Amino acid sequence: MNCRRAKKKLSPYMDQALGDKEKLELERHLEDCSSCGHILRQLERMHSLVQKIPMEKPRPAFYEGLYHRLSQKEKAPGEGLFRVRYLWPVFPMLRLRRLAATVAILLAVFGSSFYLWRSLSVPEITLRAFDEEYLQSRQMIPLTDELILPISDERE
Amino acid sequence: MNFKSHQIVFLSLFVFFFCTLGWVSPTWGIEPHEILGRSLEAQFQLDLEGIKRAEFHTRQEDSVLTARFIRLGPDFSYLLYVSPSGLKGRMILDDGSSRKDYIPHKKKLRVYPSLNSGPSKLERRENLDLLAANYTISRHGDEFILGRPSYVISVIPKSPGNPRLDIWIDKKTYFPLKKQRYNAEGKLIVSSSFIPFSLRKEVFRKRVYQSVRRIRGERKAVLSHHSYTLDEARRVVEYHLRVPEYLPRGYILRRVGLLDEGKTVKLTYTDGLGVICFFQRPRVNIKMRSFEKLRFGNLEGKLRAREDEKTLVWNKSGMTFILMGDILKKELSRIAESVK
Repeated sequence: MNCRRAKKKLSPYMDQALGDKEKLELERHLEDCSSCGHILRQLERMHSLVQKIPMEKPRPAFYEGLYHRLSQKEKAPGEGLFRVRYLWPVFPMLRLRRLAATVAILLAVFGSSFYLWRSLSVPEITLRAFDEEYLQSRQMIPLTDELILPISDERE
Repeated sequence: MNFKSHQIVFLSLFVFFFCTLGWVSPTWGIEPHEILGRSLEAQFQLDLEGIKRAEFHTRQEDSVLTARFIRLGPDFSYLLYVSPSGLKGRMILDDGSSRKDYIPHKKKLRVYPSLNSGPSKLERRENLDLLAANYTISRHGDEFILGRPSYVISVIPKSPGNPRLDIWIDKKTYFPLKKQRYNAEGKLIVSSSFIPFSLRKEVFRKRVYQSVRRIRGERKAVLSHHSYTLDEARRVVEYHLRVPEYLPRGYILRRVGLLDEGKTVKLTYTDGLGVICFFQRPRVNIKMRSFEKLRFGNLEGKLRAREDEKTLVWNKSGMTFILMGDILKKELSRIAESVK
């Protein structure tokens, strides 16, 4: 066992979470390696110091209040006006991205379809403009009388 | 050949009277073509005022239009519709550079090129030559119209299936006093007359210009008079420009116009009196209230037949074609069939 691997095993060793084989290998290494032995001693000292710190106990009604608030939050998404606000945490980031991508694709498909429909659909017009052009051309012939009947709806 | 004495006397008398008449009335010797030419120019040179009246026999019920008319020299002509009530107030003013057509109740102003502008004058002369080539211009003696002696000139097509015109021209002023126009089938469609009278023209002119100033802010549509060549039009449009390979005898291409910002091409053909317009543009649906189907070649079109013009509409290869003219139905379909 090398030092790098031994340093990773120091904390489980102290918690007695290592198997027999790993424990034996580590102990052999610690016999030969003063550096790792020094780290182990440091850890043991820190552990004993932490054990000596007095524990703060929560107020008697703390756990009841906590349980109550948690149960309130679980109910909230199904009720009230702010449903959407509470839905956001339901969607993780990955889902949001997928949703955005889907919306973008749908928009692109609908947009291009609309553009295609607009460009392929045939517009509808009346003959009025052509009638007026024809009358104007007739007016330019010198022998045509100046009085002309205007284009009426009946002519369309 | 032996002539008897009474035959010689008769022939001498005939020659004598013919020469005397020719000397007494110098106008007798004027060619009808020349009378028509003088009349066309006189319309733009005179100072006159009167009432123009036109009877149209082109619809189910005949229509009569009456308008007040003033002309002051080459650069001022004014036409104010007096009746029917639906058209009352419509005004057409030609000031030599443009021709304004104003319809007050629709607040619509359209501006055309003047009938006396430079290009129009040139076209007038060319048209007269074209008319002489395609129509027989003949004189049928003299008649009195409203007490004024006038020439009676007939303009008859050399090939049938074209419009015809009879025109009465004032001998003194060469102003046309009466016109009768017949359609390609020979039916009278318009009869118009001019009744001269004089009022205070100058005062009226001032009033007219004041009313023109008032309409400046109205919706305005300017129609371009610019004519392109076919090659120029081909370069502008984004599609393959088609032209008919067949035209009725005597018709020539007079002008090529671009409409709708170059989407539509208008080809105007004339034989001096008749006009054929051929429009083409990317495909559209043309709404038509009444029409009959007409087959030509392997295509089918919609035909609207009226007394004064026929219109054929058809679609082909993503394009819409519209052909208009006062010609026979069979000629219309023949032109349409020849469009390549």
